[in-house]
Amino acid sequence: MKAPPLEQSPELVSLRRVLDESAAVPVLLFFATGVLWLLAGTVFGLLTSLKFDMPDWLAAIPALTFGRLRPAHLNAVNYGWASLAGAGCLLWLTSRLCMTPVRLRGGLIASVILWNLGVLYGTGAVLLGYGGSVEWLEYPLPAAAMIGAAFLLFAASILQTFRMRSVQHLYVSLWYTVACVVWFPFLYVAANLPIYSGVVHGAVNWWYGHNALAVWFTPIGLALAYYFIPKVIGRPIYSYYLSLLGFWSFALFYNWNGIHHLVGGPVPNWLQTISIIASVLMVIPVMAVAVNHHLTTVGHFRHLRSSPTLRFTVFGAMCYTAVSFQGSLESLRGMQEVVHFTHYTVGHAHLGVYAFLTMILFGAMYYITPRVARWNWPHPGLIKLHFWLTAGGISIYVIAMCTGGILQGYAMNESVRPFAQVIDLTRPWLIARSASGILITGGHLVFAYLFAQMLIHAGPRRETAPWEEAAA
Amino acid sequence: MILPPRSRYHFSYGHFDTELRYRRMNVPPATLLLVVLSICGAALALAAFVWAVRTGQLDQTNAGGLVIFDDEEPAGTPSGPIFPKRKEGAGL
Amino acid sequence: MLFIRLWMFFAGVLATLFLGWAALIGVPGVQLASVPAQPGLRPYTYEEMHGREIYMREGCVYCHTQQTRPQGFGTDQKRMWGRPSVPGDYVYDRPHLLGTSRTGPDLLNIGARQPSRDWHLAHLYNPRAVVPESIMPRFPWLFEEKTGTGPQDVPLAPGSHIVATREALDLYAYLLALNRTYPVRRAEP
Repeated sequence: MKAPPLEQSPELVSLRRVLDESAAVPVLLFFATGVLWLLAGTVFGLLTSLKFDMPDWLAAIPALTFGRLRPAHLNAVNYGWASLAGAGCLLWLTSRLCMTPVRLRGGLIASVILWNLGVLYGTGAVLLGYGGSVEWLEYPLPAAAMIGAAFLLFAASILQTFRMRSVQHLYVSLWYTVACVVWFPFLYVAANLPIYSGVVHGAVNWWYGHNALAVWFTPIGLALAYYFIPKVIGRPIYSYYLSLLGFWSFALFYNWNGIHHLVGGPVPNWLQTISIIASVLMVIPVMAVAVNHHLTTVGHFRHLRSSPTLRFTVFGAMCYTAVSFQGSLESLRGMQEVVHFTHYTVGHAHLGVYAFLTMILFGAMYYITPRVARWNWPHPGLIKLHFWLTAGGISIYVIAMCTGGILQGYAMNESVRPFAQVIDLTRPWLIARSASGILITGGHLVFAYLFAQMLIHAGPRRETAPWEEAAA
Repeated sequence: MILPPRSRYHFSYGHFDTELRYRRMNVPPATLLLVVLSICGAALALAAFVWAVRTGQLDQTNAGGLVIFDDEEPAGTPSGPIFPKRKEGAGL
Repeated sequence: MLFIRLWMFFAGVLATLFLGWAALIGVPGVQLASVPAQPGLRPYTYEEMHGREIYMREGCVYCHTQQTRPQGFGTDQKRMWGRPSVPGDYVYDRPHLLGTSRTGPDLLNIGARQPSRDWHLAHLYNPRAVVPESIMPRFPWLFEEKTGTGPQDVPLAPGSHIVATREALDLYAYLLALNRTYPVRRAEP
């Protein structure tokens, strides 16, 4: 069946403005609070990293001890920054792809408030020592309940917007969007139930920890990349058929991956094995996505010079390919024997959530914000600075952590080598990581400054943007 | 030197080998169940695929990629905020 | 166009997640629900439970694992960190504290490997006083300074004015309880 062309009427021109106006307030609220959590989470992360290099620095303050800062960082950047900014992007994208205004806007305002209160409560609780010590699920139950309720409100808005769509064809980004808002509440509730103990709790922990990526963060990143790469270049994706294969194999394999975090541990061996198999099978959806993203971009690299959105998104898409292949390899027993329990895993995690997801979120925000805030980015030079600081920073980060992690793993597996020597061995790599953290922090400050200017329409007025011309 | 091993610390290897053999070689019923289930799943997927090809579900899928373009933002023209140039004659 | 019926899409989406849940949580949940505690394992005492809460509060799990791998998979065995752990070693662990990072050494059997109270208290107060290369945080708030120490007080060193609080002593009690050196009596999945 051929995709029906949209109506070619002058109203169409203003339709996009209507859609953007309907999305403006909730999307900007999601973005603005997300950026605040990005700054907070970055500070937590940088402090965490510096604690490795200077363990006696700020050592007398309980709230700033390593074991509380680290979960505060993880939760603030994931539930605060990435989730809020991602939710904002999905709202705008759903409205665009369904060609209908954002629905249930009152619920969305409530969602933003509840979500932020939940993250604030949870992060504060972790810093004050009430964290649950279950990675990715540290928040106390009330905080988790607030975030869950906020997510349901957000999901209701997405699904209602989707239901009221005025298009016939559902674009690939919409599959990921609708699927993830259905998946995530189920996952979040099932993992937060306070009924597990012992080894089963370990399995639930990593089923959730990995699935937070599989059914929430990665679909956000892929939905955005599938839209913005072809949209900015002005060329449809390489193979729509492959995207179909990619989506269903993704849905089928990705949520079986979690137990590869417990390889060698006390969980049943068959369970580890099926997670490893599923991790290797992830090569199929990843290849499909990689072919689509990269072969769409090939031959159009000149647009990377002119479009900040494309620059960030293509960087993120490349890192998605990298992190996925790295993940498939890393899950193998031979590899796990070395890198399990090392900093390598931390490098891998940042390659996923930062180099892939966060960079794509930045790219999407560079596209969406001018349309909903009705103001163009005032300082192109600062955008480039933002890109190079964050891209350079995260590259150093991942290389340092992965190299240091492999060395650490081999050293740990030399039984004659005292443990203290293993720690000494990792020191230079941890210092490199702190340096990269300073670069990334700088990038985030630049981005927050730019974003604040967009909100208050500050800075020099830029050349008429395409959507303004079209509206005239 | 961190945490030197102490003489009073010892553990039994007595049941370790049995346990390892059990982990490596025995096939628990759960695995058998999963094998059967996954074969059924694969058969179902194959059937769905054959059905999709026979009934033309996969014809012209690539047209779907064009739905993000229309007259206002046509295929072939890049869209999105470029690194914006300063507007001429517009203050700072 | 594949989505002739939208419900097919939603059914597929739900089915994929549910399948994964059933396989990774449901089946092992059933399989492990019947695993009893190893005969050598006893429940935590009140003090040990409190100590475990301190362990969680200070985030020890982010640098220390509590799982030991078998011979042929890493060198946990050669480092004498203890026999491979089995599900029956963890039945009283709620929440689990298996951990995923070994910035510091594994602690599953720290109670057997290092039972000294003086060592642990000194190490918690300032790890670098005991292990110069350590990058572990200090936990001075688990101790207090007293002008005169009574017989019930536990000073860091004889004559020291710095004494351990209840929290430090309970944390030590928990660390001492981390001892799964008893032999495995039952083969487990």
